[in-house]
Amino acid sequence: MADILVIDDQDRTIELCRRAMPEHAWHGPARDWDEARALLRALRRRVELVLLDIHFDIPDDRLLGLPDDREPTERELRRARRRQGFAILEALRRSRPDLPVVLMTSRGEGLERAADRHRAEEYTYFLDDEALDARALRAQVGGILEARRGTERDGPIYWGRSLAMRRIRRRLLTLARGRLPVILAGPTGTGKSLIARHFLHAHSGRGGRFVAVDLSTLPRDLVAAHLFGSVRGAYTGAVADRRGAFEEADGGTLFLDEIGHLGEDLQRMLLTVLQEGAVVRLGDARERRVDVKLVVATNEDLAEKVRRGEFRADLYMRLNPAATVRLPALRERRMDIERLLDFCVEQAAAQPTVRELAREYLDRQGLAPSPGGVVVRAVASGAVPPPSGALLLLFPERTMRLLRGHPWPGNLREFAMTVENALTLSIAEAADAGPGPGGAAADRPDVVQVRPKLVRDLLLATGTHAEEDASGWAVEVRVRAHEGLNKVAQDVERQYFTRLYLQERGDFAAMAKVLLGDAGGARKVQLRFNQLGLKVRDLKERIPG
Amino acid sequence: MNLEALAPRLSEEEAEDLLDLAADIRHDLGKYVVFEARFAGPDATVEERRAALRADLLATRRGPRGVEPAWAVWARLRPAELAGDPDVERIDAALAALRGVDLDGDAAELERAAALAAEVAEATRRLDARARRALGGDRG
Repeated sequence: MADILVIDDQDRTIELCRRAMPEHAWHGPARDWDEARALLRALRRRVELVLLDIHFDIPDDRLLGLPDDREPTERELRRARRRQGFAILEALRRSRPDLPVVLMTSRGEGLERAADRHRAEEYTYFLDDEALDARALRAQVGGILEARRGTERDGPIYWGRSLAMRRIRRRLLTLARGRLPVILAGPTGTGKSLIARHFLHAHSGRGGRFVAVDLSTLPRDLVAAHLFGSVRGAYTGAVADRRGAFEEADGGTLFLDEIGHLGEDLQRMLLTVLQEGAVVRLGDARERRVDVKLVVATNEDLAEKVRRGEFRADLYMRLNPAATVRLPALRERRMDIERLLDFCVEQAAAQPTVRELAREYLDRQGLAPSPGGVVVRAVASGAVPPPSGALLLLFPERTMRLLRGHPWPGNLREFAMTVENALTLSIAEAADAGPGPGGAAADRPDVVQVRPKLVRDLLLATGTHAEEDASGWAVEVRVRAHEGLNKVAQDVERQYFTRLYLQERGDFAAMAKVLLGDAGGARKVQLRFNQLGLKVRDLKERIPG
Repeated sequence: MNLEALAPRLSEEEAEDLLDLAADIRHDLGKYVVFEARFAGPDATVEERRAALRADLLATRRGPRGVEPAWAVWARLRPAELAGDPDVERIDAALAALRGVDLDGDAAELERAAALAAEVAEATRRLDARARRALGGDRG
């Protein structure tokens, strides 16, 4: 499923698209650039593909590309209509340079020269709509989405669209194919073990097994036997010969999670294995050759541990520290939140229990599921597609603000669990409510709303809602072209005031003490609070405890 | 008058206008008069073909301006100065015949309608191509 925007002055293309590819959410048609921009904004970064017509038979005042300094001539108006798609494409490229756009034009329409200017662009495609049929359209749309998603997601891994994450993916792809160890660094919950299993091992070209060992959970005195194996009688309780993780992973990948927990003696043993390419089981003298791709993960600063003498420098150097890949915290990837939400909803909706719950809800509403089975999808306010048999989870803007504003100390893991809980509880609540609207609109029982209060409660329950990390509070800064600095500063100020209000439990005098060094300035602070558009009644219920 | 005969008599501006008009005819009429029929494909049932033809002929353009059948689109765009041009005459004739077709008729009647619609589309393409050859080609 993908969100696809159609920009066209006619209804016919989108009607055909909806019939030919009901598995996608088709938005529009946007009749001109203003409507397209509004829809793109409402859909945030969900739109994965745009179908764009060239001819737009629309009123003069909605045309792009006309002279600013004088009245356009009739001819200029006519030509602007004939080439409007190109003008819209140019406007679109200013804000979304990497959004795939399919231009629906025909060869031989006299637009070759204008089209050639765009043909070389990486994310612009041409569809000869005089040869358009269901199969051709499906093939082109499918091909573009597949190519795009190939770098956006891999099975259970969501890389997102940021350049930084794409670079990480490319780098890991190179490292996966090499023989050297890989260090995955980054805070907890950023998906290190998923990447080790589903990306590094999957792309290593190695036929052996993937074996994972979490060094933080194994009892210290069992780690050596677990990693290197043991022979009968090697220690009390060793009643039989046993292969270790290195031998199990021979020909494959060994993933050592929390490598920083490895004790000094084990670090030495691991170093020997890496140097010799062989293991010796505990209690044995025989070397056994092993060919293992080693991937280690840590949320600690290994270099710092080396400096402090807590981690062997020679082992560290053997782990190929120059190629360390650091996975960013979720709060550093806020631009991905919308698409990540779709991804997590899709993942959660694949769970049999969620599908069963959704089926139960649809049954109670007297709705037939999609022909291919129960489909659950996330949608944003202002962008709810027409009924298609799917169960739509509406995330209103207030819910999205909570998701975007949360610091996510547990990163992707915490986000995925919150989304799954929100989805399950919302459907369950709607199902329990019996026949009738699911909370979004009376005439759309296929839409179930994920209420902000539910998400707020879930975030409060984790106890992480307003944590301050060592570097302070994280604030979100979204800057749009043509926005003044004052607006940006106010956005930041608003977030700071919100955090402070929650921290001081709504006490303006305490806030004044922090802000002005004088509790007597409460009135001034409250005034500024109001000027920033903040409302006590909105924030009151978010005060913890 | 025949397009090729008219071309040398036109000013540059008039030639550009006619080129644009030919492209509009190809897009607004030629593309949409066979839009759904082509999309439905050869395996479509008689009823699917009937629905496609209805959409293509009776609601050729459908948007904020309302619904325009094929003959209304043609009436809006038809270049009066090209009365007598073979492709313009073909479009005239095919659309006149289409107005007489019974879209509730049997499969043979639907086939006749589809053939006439395809003739309209083909004539618009030919007219556009001839216009670009005679009037100066692609001016991007």
